[in-house]
Amino acid sequence: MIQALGKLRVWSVLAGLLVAGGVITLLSGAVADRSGLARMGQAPDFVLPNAGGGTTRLADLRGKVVLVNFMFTKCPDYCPTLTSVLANVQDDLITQGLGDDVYFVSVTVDPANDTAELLNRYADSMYVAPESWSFATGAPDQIEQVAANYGVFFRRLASGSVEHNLLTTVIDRDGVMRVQYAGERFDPDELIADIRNLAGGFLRLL
Amino acid sequence: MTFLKQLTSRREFTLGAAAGGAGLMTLGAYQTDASDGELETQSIRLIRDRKFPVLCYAPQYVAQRFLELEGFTDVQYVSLGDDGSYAHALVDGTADMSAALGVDWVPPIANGDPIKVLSGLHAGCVEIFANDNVATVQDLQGKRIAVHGLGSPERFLLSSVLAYIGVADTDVEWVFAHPNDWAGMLAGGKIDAMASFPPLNYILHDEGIGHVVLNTTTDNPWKHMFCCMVAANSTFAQENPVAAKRALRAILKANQLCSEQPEVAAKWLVEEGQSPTIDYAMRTLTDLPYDTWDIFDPEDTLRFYALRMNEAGIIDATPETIIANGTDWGPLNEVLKEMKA
Repeated sequence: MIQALGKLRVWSVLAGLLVAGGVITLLSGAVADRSGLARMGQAPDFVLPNAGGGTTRLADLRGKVVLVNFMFTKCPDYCPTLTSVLANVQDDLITQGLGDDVYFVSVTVDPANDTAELLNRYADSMYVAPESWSFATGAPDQIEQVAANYGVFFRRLASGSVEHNLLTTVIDRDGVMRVQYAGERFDPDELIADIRNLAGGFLRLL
Repeated sequence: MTFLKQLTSRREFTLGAAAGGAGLMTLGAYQTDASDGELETQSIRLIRDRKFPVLCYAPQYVAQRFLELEGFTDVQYVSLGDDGSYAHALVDGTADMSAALGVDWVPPIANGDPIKVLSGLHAGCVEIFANDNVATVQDLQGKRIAVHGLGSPERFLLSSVLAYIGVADTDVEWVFAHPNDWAGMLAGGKIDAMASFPPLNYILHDEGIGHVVLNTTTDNPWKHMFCCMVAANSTFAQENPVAAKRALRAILKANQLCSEQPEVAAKWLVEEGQSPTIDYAMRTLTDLPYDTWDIFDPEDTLRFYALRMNEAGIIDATPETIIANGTDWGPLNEVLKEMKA
């Protein structure tokens, strides 16, 4: 009889855990899926030196929503426009209390010319919050592979400029690619809403 | 007491099991909302008409680099047949996927041919040029209009325009000629009107040949719908759903590049021999609304053209039948969730 009661207590504890787990999974799943975004697959990992003297590894950013884009500092038009848009997005997210939940990675497509000093100067000129934004560089073949993994092509022109498409990839807390924003004319409020939905979740609501 | 404990335990167990099960089901559903699988084929054939280059399909040509990034190692651009029909090239399996005038896809779908329209590409691009005998589109009745053939895209487009204004396409005289000859025929008085696409539009404008009586980029109702739409051979789309979706994604990324970075796209079009000059390419890319792919409803466009084709007596099928049998919005709906612009 005592043994039977003991087994029942164990079952009760297990059942309680199942209840809690089930409810949390249900709620967090429901909230996370509110984004309506696709799950495009695990974002390819990368490890790149950054302008701050450290290393930016995507896997280390697990738990945050990560935005990855590509640029170069001498870009006369599109890159500064896109970076500026993203800097404003970052600013809004910080104001909304999500500054610690989101991380930006900008990878240069001109590693031969974009020194750490130039990248840092570029970051300063764009008024980005450096604690949650890395400007990454690397060997040309390394950059080419990372860019290809994220659907970005680039090529150096005879003029010395670099031609590339604009694509900002949004990665969720679990490292899954969820959406890509093409170009630089997208609605920043839509991007902020997507990030908020991905950064949200049941546990954040407690 | 024991009974109560047992009851509580059972209730807890039941609730826990139910909630846990539901949680696992949720988790399962979450995980099955999966990413792309492996490409079923790394080869894809698109269409490039080198005999009569049409620049409004620019995203299709620019897409080559994006197709490679999507994993296609063998990207081919095949030529059109002598009839100039993009639809026929898809139906006979010469090509797997292509952009063409939306109206061009309607008759073969009505005929039961294996074509699935996947997405709109952009609005606009067609101008109807005419000589001094024609002041407005209403004046086209009874006039001589150049087309490649009765099954050609421009004939279907012109018939739909005529149907829209209440003119039977049997009330015009179709003059059959290769598109490269139309401008000379219009200038020489051998025809009264012709439909034109970039870059031919710009040549006509620059050389002062004819005047425009309809511009689908700026005139109602055409400016509110797609002009060019992407379609695939049905068998290709059904047997290679991942490839079809990724190819569409590549074309739509290229579309966005044409819209937002036209000078990059224009340079490629010239390098690849698709545009004779950078000027023509730039004018095409800046004049046409390439940023409408995620705004307009492609079904509206097909419905409009199916109605006009029906009114013109070219098809018997209803718009509902065309949409039911000849569309697959699955890949587009996936891309719309993955890519924003």
